[in-house]
Amino acid sequence: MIMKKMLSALLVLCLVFTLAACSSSTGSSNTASKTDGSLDAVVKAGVLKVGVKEDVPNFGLRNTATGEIEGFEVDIVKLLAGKILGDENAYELTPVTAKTRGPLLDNGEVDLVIATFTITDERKLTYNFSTPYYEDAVGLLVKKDSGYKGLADMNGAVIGVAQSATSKEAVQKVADEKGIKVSFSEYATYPEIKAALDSGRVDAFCVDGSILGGYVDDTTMILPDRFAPQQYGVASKLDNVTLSEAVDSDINEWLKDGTIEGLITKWGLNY
Amino acid sequence: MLAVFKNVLTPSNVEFLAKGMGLTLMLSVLVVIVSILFGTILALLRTYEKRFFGKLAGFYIEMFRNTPLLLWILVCCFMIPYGTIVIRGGLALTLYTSAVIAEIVRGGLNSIAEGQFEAATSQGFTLIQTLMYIVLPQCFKSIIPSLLSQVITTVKDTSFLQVVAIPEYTRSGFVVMGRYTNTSEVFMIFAILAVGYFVICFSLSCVVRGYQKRTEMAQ
Repeated sequence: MIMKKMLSALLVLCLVFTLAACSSSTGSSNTASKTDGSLDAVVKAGVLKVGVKEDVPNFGLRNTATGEIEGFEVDIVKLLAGKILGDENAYELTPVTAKTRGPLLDNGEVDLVIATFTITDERKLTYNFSTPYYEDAVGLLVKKDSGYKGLADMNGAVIGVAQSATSKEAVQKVADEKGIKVSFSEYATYPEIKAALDSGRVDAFCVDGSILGGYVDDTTMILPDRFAPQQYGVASKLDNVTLSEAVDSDINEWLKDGTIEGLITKWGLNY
Repeated sequence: MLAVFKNVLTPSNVEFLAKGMGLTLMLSVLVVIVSILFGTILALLRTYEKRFFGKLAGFYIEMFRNTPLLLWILVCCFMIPYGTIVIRGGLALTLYTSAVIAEIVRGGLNSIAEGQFEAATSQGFTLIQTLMYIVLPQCFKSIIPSLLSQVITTVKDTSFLQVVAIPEYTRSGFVVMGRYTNTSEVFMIFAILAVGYFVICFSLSCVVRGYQKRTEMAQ
């Protein structure tokens, strides 16, 4: 009897959750069509709230000495704050993870997300993306004395990749096109792959170019081949139209006048 | 080995990790205190109140105890519009831990003989007095071991909060890790994290065990 009652209560709770979810989603689609004051709201608040990564080197990494988050993406935040609010320091950073960046945009806790957020067609349906400010692609790190000039020379090579990364498929596809055979060896962490490369267990270390840059040393080099390019954009809530348009025009301007290029060089991201 | 240790444990990193450890400790203490209070109330209701509130407490306990903690962290952090992210994360942990502690307390309450109530009533104790002076002290004494293991679990559960970027101990470890690319340095940071949790939880066990021994000797 008690079980029965509890089950029905649980069902009622599920129903309430579903209804709440439905009503909130219809609510947002209604407002999406209207013109909005999202840019005005930011100007009125006098502060630009942005979600950034705090554990990705060169993009957004918290400096343990100062406690501040630093990186390429944080510099973009400063530029945007200067442009939109006239004050380079009128920003507030919220550390985000891949799991939290979307919901934090949706519930309005951040105005923008600049956190190595890859633009995909699927995500464009849920968020506004600016013109990409950075393009990352999978690259290959090899030993200088291996004599490899590109993937085409690497018949029979063993390539070290991170577990569950998409880089494996991307390289396999190009290898098939070139008619060469490569095999893969999977590792849990990037440092492990580097160790495998150093000890000769793999012939190449394959990961996103921006990360690969951190592992280049005297004995290794990055090959010119690039696979599976992915573009990072500034994301905003879908119905924040005026804000996203302002951001997009700023990013375009900085892409044209070389400001962004300069920042990429500053953070060593042009591998 | 020593070089790796020196590389990783720079003064600024140590200070940063210590801050994370501080937040972990503060969250654990608050969550445990509130959960024991709230959990005890839930357990009393579920054991001695068989009508509406008892059923409500039962429903609450079963709902939180049988669903993952991570779910409640995400729900609280994204759906509650008030408070900072730390408060919301702490709330999620408290809601969940209360339900688990309630069941532990209920186990203790069940071990107390019905006759205790009758005896107390015959001496003129009110229900609240009976609970406060007779039932709960006996109950807590018998559940100390299982309560302790839940407190230890809660300390470790705070590491779930790193998912929503709350700067507790595990999160600060991951932030520090961002700067290191060498395998041995990364593993050193994991080791430092593990040692941190071990020290907290093990000293907790020692303190409680020592207390138990002293009270046993006193009897």
